[in-house]
Amino acid sequence: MSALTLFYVGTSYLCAAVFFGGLSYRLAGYAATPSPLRIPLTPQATTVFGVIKKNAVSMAVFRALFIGERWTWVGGYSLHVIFVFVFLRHLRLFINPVPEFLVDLQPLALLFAALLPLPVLFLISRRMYVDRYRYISSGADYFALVLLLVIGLSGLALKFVSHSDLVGVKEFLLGLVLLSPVEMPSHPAFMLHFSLVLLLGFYFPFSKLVHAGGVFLSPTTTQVEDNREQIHANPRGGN
Amino acid sequence: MNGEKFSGLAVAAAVMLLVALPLLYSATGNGLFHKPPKPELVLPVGGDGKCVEPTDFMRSNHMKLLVHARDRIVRGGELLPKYHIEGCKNCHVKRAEFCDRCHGYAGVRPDCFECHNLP
Repeated sequence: MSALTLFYVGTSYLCAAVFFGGLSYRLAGYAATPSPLRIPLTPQATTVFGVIKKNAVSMAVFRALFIGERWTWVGGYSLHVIFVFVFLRHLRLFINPVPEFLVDLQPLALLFAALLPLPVLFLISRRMYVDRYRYISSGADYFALVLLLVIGLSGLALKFVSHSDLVGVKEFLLGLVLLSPVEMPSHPAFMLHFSLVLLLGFYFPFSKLVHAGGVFLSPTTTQVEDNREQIHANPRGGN
Repeated sequence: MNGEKFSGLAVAAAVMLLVALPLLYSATGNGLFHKPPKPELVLPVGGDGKCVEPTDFMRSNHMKLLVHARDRIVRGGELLPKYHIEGCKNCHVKRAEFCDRCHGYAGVRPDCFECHNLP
């Protein structure tokens, strides 16, 4: 196994550990943080089932964002939908055998996945050119977007500019999944794309991207609004 | 940890597991710690063992050579271009034993032959 492959294999497993370990650590931190007060954002459902239903709808269509910031919804929602298609495009490289329905989906998924740079560019320009967003934008906001943009562009380059040996790529990725790594295809565009994805994996648990898991643990959205039905005394005393 | 936090954590864990599910699917199908499966190709016997271009190039770019041979023949005026699909068949006799193996492995389905006959 070449030194380059060895480096990438080591980095990949480290990345997986940092990603899953880091994300679990962050979520466990959110879960362990006491939230003795009832602070659901109104309007909130008054039953457990209602909260589940409301959040399921929220996550499916980004309802609050749609109501609150329509243009941000256009960029953000389309980006997240595109993520689903990107996932469907890549899944075939990590599983074997590839299910038939996944093969059927590929042309359609490509059609949407290839649009990824558009919402990202939209969201970058939103932060750059709208004063009130520019004011609250920090380097981390731009970094996440630019990282997504270059990952998307390098991925599209692999499809439309410089094809890699797809069978070699799949063999390498399957080798990683099966904990039995094999030689990595030394194709520049693939190596760039893969390196950037590793960077994203390392960065993810330390960044605002944790909202992917944090959304499930936000007191303001997951608490049932039963302030009037039940007494929620502060366990630490006081009023 | 109150009920909402607990169920939130459970849902987050379930989502992570859902993402990891394809990996489990692949791991159970092929066996952990085993070399990853790769397509088995029936390679041509005889001939000089050389394709029209080096193997590495063909692996990544064969489709670009094959696409739109029509343009080269009808508009470019070549009689039988070097990269004509007829030429492939001289060595790679059976589509099912060569082409389809890698395409199936990587989940690729060329749509040329939905309309065009495979010569």
